Amino acid sequence: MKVKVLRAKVKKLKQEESSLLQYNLLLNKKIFVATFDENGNALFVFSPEIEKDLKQKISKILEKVEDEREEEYETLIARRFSPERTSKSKPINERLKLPKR
Amino acid sequence: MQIISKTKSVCPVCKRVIDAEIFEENGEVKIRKTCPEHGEFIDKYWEDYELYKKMMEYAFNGPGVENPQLPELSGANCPFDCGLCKLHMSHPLLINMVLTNRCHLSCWYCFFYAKEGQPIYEPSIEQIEKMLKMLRSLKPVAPNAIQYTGGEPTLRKDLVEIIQLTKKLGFTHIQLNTTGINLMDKEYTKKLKDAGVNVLYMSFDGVDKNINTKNHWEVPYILESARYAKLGIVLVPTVINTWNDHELGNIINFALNNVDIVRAVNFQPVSLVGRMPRKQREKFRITIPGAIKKIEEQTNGAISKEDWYAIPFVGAVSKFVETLTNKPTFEFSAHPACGMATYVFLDEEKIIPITRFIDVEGLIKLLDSSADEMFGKPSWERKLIAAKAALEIRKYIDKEKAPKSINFEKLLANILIKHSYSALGAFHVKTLFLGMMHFMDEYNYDIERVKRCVIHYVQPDGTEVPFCTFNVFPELYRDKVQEVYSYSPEEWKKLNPGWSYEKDKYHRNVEKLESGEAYKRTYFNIKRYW
Repeated sequence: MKVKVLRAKVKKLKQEESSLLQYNLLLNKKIFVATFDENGNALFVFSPEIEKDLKQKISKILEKVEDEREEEYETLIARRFSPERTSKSKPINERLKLPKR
Repeated sequence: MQIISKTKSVCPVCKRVIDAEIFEENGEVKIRKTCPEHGEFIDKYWEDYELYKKMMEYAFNGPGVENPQLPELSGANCPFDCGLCKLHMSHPLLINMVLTNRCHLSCWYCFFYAKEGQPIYEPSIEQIEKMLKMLRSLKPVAPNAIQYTGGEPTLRKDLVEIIQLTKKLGFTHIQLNTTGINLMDKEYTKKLKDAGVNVLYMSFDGVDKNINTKNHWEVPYILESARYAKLGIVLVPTVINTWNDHELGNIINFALNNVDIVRAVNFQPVSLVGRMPRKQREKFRITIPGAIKKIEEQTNGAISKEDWYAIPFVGAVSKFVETLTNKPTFEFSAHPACGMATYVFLDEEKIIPITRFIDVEGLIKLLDSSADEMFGKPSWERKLIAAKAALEIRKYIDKEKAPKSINFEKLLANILIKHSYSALGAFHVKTLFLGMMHFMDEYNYDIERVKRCVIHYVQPDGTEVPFCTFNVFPELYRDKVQEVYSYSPEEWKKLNPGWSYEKDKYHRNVEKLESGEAYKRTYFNIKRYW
């Protein structure tokens, strides 16, 4: 199965708004990833058949498409099964205690 | 009323992430949040503010996962970026894997099993192997404990093969989450034990048959099978206020009556998943301190509030071992509100909680300060400091009050210095672990808690999702993924000729079960321990 991967710059949204949009997009079974960060970066992975619908849903906040490509769904899944090391954990003594509540 | 902390939660109606406050009111801890569209929601968070304050002192940040499956996601909208992302703050301590959504019971409240005409989810052995291998590659510490769940996992014909494979891939602790009904078959139970199952994680909502309608009649026969196979059992009561909250002491008493084979009772205060009016929530809601208080009342103080500690309380043990060995180890970095536990010992017919003869707080302080002292020192010096700490352990044990059957000084020294967990075998003699695990729902959802979750579900699409994200947002995780990997009823029937939903179902013969010797022995002569 082919999927489309779309990286975009979007308007910075309050978390209340971006999380609501993200939740509602993910309810669509053909959208596999929909994520926004605090800096207005967005990533979507979806089935090509819903491309028009998705783009319409994000049209009001879309500023710039940065990368758009097609790949196999299986490739996406395979990456999860062989994840790259991305960070280094600190030893326990170096981690801070939680701030006092 | 005072605000304790600020956090994030979700609106129970539209699910958007919103600000929330944890606050104290009349000695209780509550959570309050306001959705711009759906208004204010207030719910009970923990019934005891003083206990909450004390347990929060032990909270610490875990290492997270160095190689999460979804490193490209930001986690900014946690819990909707899950799978795991790099912001998760604990590594998994226990993995849950759903082996099937078929079940031999049809409990009215359960939404987890396939009803007539619904798709069948049953990952293949190849998919299971891929998931297990991925889990074993996690860093800095790969999980070695797994719970197979369902549906009813014993409906799978290849369960023994799955267990053998799991052992082979390095999982040393395998739990089977089951109604236990199929384990009335002694030889089957032994096969599972021989394949590598360590413990049965079995629903048990009360001793009263009107309360525990799920497996009351079968439990005596399951206990017999477990004895035959030498397979330990964890009783798992879901605690619902006004329903079975009066049974908590009875459940512990029942476990003590069967302490030769029952290893633990793991109480789970109910998670009110799904929309529910406030009045109904208030009726059913009970949290960990509420359940602990009822246990204290129902055991006449034999097990009291002071005997329980939150999960991260033992963080100093990991810190000590990690610093001594200079190797990452399992860290119990769950949020304190998620779970508490204690040990009780049955010694000469007397119940002794561990806190009555070990100064656990003093011991934890000793380990914490010794770890700080060891940090950054060369190996020989670390060993010297650890040996000094081991010698000091005796100061924290009151030998007069301790159970006579176990040498605690030696046991603790073996664990801390030699990391010899085989010594823990002695613990199982007349010892009962009591745990509390409170899973969240939309109303009391606290993202600070879920970020620290240590119990994760793994799925065939390569995602790994914390328990309270998986079950509170099934539309995004559990149901969505299972649908992709499910068989239509037609496909399933083609693969399994002669199969039907009805054929999976268990039909109980109450009269026969009640007339059996095991039933009478188990329920008619229960000794009271308080």
